[in-house]
Amino acid sequence: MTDDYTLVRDAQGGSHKAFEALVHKYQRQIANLIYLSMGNRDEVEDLVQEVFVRAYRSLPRFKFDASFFSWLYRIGLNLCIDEIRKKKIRRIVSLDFLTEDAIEHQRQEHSSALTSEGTLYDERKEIIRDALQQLSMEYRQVILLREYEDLTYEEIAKTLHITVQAVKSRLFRARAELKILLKDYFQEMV
Amino acid sequence: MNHKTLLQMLSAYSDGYTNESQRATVLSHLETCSECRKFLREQKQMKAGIHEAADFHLHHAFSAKIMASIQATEAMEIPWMGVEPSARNTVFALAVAVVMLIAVTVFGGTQQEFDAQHLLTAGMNDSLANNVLMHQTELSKDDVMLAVMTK
Repeated sequence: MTDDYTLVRDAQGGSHKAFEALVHKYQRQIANLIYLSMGNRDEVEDLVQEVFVRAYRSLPRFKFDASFFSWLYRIGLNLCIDEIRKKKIRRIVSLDFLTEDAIEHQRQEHSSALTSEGTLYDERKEIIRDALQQLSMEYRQVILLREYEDLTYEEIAKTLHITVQAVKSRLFRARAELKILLKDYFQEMV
Repeated sequence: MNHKTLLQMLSAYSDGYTNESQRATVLSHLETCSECRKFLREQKQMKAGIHEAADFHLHHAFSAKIMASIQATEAMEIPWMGVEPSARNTVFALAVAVVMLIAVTVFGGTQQEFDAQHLLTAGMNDSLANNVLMHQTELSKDDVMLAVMTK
């Protein structure tokens, strides 16, 4: 398999084939990071597509200061933050979410989704995704990059533009908070 | 060392980010502390759970779809297919330079013409030759010499 450096160089030189190979290599990782960051399956494909389109446009400016994945992830992260901001504005504008009927409707939808998906295994995955949604974006990112992507502290620091020490303490606090949120999840596992 | 510091060390330990002495401290503490053993066990379960929860699968033609979208965007944005952006910039800069040159020539030329006309007219009205000669129907050689000398 051709390494990222060669693929990026070729893609910068105008090779669509090289860029497609990069898309193929990272699309699943980016999709899942977006999925776990946003918690909504419906919008993942559009966001992943937007990440790669933006990456392609910005490719001439990529200088190999960080890994291609880190750079790509950073684009995805900014996109997610923009999307969350837009959603907040839409929610404030609509105000529908405040009515009791709307809350009840959401609760019913959520529980029927779990029942129809059926298995306990799916329920447990849903609990993890819900817990991640309750973390702040700062904590969510550091947890995902470490636990899902297995990035080193140095790589996380570079990706999130923070120090290694900050990664260390943020990761500890994020884990502690997530453990509290997943209390029931751990009890089920015993 | 308090328990919170130990837990923080434990988090780093599980990622392999502790030095020899910290590792020794953690290991000896783990032998006696069930809470910290639980912390470590739950951390592993959490990691496994996150991997399981990341179950989003893209369809096999997704990368082709992205490439099609990129190519469509490119085709719309760049009508001069195949021309390098630097070449486009050069042509644009040259076009601007030509337009500026034409503007300077046109407006600068009119100004010059206007000034010459103004000077000529002003000179004629004030000149002695104009005052003397404008009333004569025929001009002699001497009249022409007078006009030349006084202009």
